[in-house]
Amino acid sequence: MSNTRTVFDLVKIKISGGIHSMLSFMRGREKRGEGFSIGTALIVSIIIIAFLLIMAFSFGVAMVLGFQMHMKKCLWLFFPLGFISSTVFSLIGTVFAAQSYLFDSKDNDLLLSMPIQPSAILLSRILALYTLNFVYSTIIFLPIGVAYGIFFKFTFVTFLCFLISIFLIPMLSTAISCLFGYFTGKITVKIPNKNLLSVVFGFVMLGGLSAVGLNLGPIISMMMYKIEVIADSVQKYSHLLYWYGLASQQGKFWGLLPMLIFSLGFSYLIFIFISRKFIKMITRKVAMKKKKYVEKPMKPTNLFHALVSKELGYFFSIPAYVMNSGMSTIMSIILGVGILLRGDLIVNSLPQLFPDASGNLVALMIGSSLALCCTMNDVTAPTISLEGKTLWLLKSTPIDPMKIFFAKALMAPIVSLPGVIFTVIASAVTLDLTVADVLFIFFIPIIACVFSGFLGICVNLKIPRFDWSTEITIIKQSLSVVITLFLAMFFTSIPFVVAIVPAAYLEDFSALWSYGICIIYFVFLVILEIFYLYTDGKTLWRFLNT
Amino acid sequence: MLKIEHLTKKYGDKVAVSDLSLEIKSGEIYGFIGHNGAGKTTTIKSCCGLLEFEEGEIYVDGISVKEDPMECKRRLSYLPDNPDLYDFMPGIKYLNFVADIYGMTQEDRETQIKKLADMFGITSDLAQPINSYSHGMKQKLALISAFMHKPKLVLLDEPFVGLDPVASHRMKEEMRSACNEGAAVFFSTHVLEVAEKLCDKIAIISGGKLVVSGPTDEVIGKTSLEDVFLKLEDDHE
Repeated sequence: MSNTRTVFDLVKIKISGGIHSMLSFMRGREKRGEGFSIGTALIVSIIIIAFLLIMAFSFGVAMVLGFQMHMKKCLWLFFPLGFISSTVFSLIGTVFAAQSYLFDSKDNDLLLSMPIQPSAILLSRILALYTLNFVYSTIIFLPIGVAYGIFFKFTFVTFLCFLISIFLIPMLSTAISCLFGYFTGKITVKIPNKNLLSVVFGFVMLGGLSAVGLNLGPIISMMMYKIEVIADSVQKYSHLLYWYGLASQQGKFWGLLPMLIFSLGFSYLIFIFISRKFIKMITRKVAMKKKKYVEKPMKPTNLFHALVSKELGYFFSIPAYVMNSGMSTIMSIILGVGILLRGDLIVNSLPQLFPDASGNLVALMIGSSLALCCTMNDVTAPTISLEGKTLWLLKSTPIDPMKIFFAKALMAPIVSLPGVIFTVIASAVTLDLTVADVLFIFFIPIIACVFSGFLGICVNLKIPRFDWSTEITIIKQSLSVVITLFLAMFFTSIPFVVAIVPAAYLEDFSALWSYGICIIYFVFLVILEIFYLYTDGKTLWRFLNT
Repeated sequence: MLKIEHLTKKYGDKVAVSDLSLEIKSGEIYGFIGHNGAGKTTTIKSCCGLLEFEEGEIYVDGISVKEDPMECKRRLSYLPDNPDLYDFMPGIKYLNFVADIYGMTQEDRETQIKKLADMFGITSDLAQPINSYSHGMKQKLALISAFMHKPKLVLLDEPFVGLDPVASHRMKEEMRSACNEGAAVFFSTHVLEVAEKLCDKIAIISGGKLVVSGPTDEVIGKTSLEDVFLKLEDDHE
């Protein structure tokens, strides 16, 4: 078989594998009934809406900045800015996946044992990564081109530049991702506690991205205001982008050549560089210092404690799990910091907004925000699926399934507890709260967590998925996670609306009534969930089979 | 110790095991032989409550698997053909976890783990996380966890896969020793020589149906187990 054919086949396998994994929740829906079809439709709709929103946003920003550039006579900057923003967006999407995409694939040994050139294996993976980058960059760059076409009109050369750019941008971001993937792969292999490092690094990156996302408005305003300064700087210091701008907007096609040569040359160099290190990278072994076993007394613990420890150990062993399902703990801490720094703002603004409020709205507001925040920690929604190939262990041993469910459900409040405690202390220190208020702010998110914890297990028992090859697929893309998240947020918001509205508008309505309504509501839901697990849940567990 | 009565298990329309009956008594090592897809794993999984079955009954120590699976599981241990363990745990933590499940005393777990880990030669690796273990080491760890709580019935699916010759030898010794203490071992294997030398009784299954069962000497007669197996397979086809 020729190398080209092999590369083509490998790319096909890689991409179809990814699509298969993404869409696997849709298979077998006939068996799962109408509820399942509604859930599937919901997810597909959300994904399409998210894509459309991003494209609409890109179109809007391009239009606004385009008119500004047109007014300031620097429209040549239009496509260079589009080029940079599309490259950055696709980089965000792929840069962290590059290492596993290129080097940590499960078919490494299999492919190396076959008569396939290692460079062909690498090329196939780079092309698969390129496809991913292509999707990401096109979401941003296509609306930019459409905006230009509608408002400023394409010439033949500008359209040609636009078309070439569509393929050039993902090439550049793929090359950068590959380089990043290579260095992270090289570094992490030498770090002993890389799980912790990955989590910290991930949270820092997410924090940075969130900060940029939250300040996108001011950033765009600043760009509009200083568009001439930006144009001057690009013209002076980045000839490559300037020439590209001239080519794409003023029809000087030669201007595209430096960018074309740079992108192709840079990508080729990266490919040559990585292909020389490829075998070494995919056969690298994590240098682990052997820990010597020292006999210690092995104290027995009760089964429930052992199960909870096992769940905790599993949770912290997967950085993506911590990042994805522990994000709300960080958000709760941010809420606490906000209360510490600007608590007075809440206290002063609420009486003005709700002059008739009888009870302490502050506690209700903080408690409900914290509860909503905590229910987003969907630790338990993937937990049954994650048992995967180890399910035999729990099922063949004498463990009451209810103990397994309770141990798993307990993870939700455990993971959320640090954020809750911090915010409760911040509220108690900063705000004028009664003991009842403080107790409410503490207990309501915890009960909400217990509710969402059990909900995750109920949903996952109903729609488990054991055909995964990496945990990330289950943690991020499984149907049970999405459904649990929506249901948890929906059910958590109901009592607060019911409790806050009368507390805000009725003079004689005591805050204690509101607290009572919320607590009784969640306790009732938790009892319902436990009843469901005790009856249907145990049966579903009995029939679970990998 | 294990009584299978007219077991029938279907996957959709496909009959995996059909009307299978067997009895394994205390002190017996019972080998279960059959081609790939013959129904060995399905039978073993049904015995330990991992699979629900349509017809028939399975009793462990006189207790019905259908009616009281928890009590049955307290008396048995099961090991699948390719045991995936909790990779994130160090070996010793995993064994301690299993000991907690079976409620073993501190003294029991310490003695048993030391004895079995020394026997399989993995004591020095017990502090390492399981994801750093080789396939054979994982198999040894899984075997330790299967034997350490002294179950009355041991159900093993292809237990010799991945074991080195020394570990295989030790494993056979452990099986015999468990049986001498009153336990019963029921295991599937493709290694006919091992079955021939080790088993007190043998059952051959083909296409989900029991073809022959009984004491090893009677099943083999004057030929070898390989000859018997191949002949029965041919006859069945």
